[in-house]
Amino acid sequence: MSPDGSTALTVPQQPPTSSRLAGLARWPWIYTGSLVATGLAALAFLGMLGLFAVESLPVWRHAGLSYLSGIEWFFRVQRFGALPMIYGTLAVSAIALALAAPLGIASAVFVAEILPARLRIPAKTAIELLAGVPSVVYGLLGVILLRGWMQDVLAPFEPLSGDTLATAGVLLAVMILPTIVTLSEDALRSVPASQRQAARALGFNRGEAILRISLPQARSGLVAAVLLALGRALGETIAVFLVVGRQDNQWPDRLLSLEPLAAAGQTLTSKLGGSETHIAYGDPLHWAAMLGLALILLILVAGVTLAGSAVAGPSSGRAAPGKSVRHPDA
Amino acid sequence: MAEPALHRTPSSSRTVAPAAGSADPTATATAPPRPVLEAYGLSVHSRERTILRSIDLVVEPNRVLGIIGPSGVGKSTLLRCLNRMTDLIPGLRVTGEVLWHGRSIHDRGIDPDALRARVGMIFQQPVVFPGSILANIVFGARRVLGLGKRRWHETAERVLREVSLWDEVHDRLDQAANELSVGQQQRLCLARTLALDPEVVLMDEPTSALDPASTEAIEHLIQRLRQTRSVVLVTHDLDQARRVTDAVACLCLQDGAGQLVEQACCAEVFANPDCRAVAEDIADPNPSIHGPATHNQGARPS
Repeated sequence: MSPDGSTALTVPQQPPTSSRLAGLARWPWIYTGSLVATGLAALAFLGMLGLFAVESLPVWRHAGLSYLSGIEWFFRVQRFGALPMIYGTLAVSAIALALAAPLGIASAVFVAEILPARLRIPAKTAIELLAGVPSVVYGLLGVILLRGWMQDVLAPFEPLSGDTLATAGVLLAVMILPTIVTLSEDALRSVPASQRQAARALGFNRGEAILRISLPQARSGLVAAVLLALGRALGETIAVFLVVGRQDNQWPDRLLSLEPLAAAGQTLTSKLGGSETHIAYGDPLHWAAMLGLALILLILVAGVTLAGSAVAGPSSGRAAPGKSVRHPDA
Repeated sequence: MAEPALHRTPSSSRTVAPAAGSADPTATATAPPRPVLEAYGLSVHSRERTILRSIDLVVEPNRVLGIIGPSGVGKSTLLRCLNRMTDLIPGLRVTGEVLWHGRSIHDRGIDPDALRARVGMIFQQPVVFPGSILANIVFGARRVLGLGKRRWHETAERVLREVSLWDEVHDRLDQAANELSVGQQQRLCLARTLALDPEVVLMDEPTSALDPASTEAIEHLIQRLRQTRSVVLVTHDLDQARRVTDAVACLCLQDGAGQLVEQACCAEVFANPDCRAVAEDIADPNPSIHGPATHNQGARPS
């Protein structure tokens, strides 16, 4: 750091006040502007988190950690257990990911690696159009097409209707599929063509080049795509609301039992989107319990989003030195 | 005839001497053995134009064939025809014949991937894969030769010695390959190709991105490679062509498409007036990649 503040490119650490101001004056306004904007976004998020934390304080005081671990929600007797809804949200998202991630990545491979350039742009545009369809439309499609079909598929489990956690999961899979395809396709295309060409020059066929070069090198981008889609799945409200059945207190009797998936359930979002939110407004404790659900949802989505950007952060083309000491298939 | 200096310049004798001693010095004059690769009437068309027109080319065993010509004449495309890398470029149409040990590489029975394993290729910019030096070397050999893990180190040592990289990296085979210098990376790429034990190595301006020391190392290598294999070397550097090649194919633009002017030993090629024009074009002391296009007119045979 140069003692002479006027020639240093960075603001000197302990300059006289005047020279620091001079340094700030030279600080291009675009930096300041973007810093402020970024800071505002971060502050807005933290503020939101803080607001929901404060507003939900009564329920934490009332129920303590059993708010998170309780499996019964009867607001008339002031029992607030959020676990069935956390379960519903995670189950629905897990089903969605399990269906959409393999399918989405496979389609991305097809679009990025196999489809001729001429057809790739139309295909990608179509996929992005699908990603932009409003979720209420997807929800109605679920009601029209999916509900009856799922009731037939789930017949062995004797569901009371076609509105089940599994239905919501399948619908969500359809909804997040375009996101996964388009982001995965970007990740695959960011792998330099020279890498594939070098592998082909070593006698690898196209499939081997995809398996050994494209997919491993796009891995972080693919994981990020899936995580961002997961973020969307966790937060999706209206489409899930329309087909999930909105049955409170669905909790598997046995650990890892899949039966509740074939029954109506409740997710954090479907609970919050329902009429109970209006009812709750008059009762501080009930209202706090509802906002607590929002807080949990916010933290879940933020965690997944942060994980997604952390994975996507390091450029996927050439592995970082630490990561790169591995074998190509590792 | 051309002055002998054109054939093997004194300045380059040190690079040439060992190889010239090991190879049969009269080979250029005797009848060639059966060629490894031959091209007859090879033409390449893109959607818009003809890139190469009726090229005849012979790649003999244990010889270094240089390909020279101005920028954009299709040298790299010609090289890619020889191992069917042209298949990977959409819109290219290749006509004519390329024979691999007398058999057309466009035959139904020919597996282009197997062909590419036998006809290795080095690019202008080294392309190392993420992963360790060792992983890079065995990358192709594992899959093509089914090289077992027990033989990885043995193979690595053999090919790294062959490309004179062993002394520099033998104690850090597990380190990331992309931390090597560009020159080392290029030699690593060559080692990776040699691990497949190819009969022919195609090199597309392998030294144009390298510093002089690495360039010299690669040139030494080419000289050693020709003891066991054939090399086809696309180069912009005429001195390099004189130093390391046994024969040179000279391409120039005629009616918008690359055509072969002559394939012969270096001295004869540089004696050909058309080739001399090409040579003057690319031997510009300022090594600009894009030579003046007007010169190509001068290369047209009268």
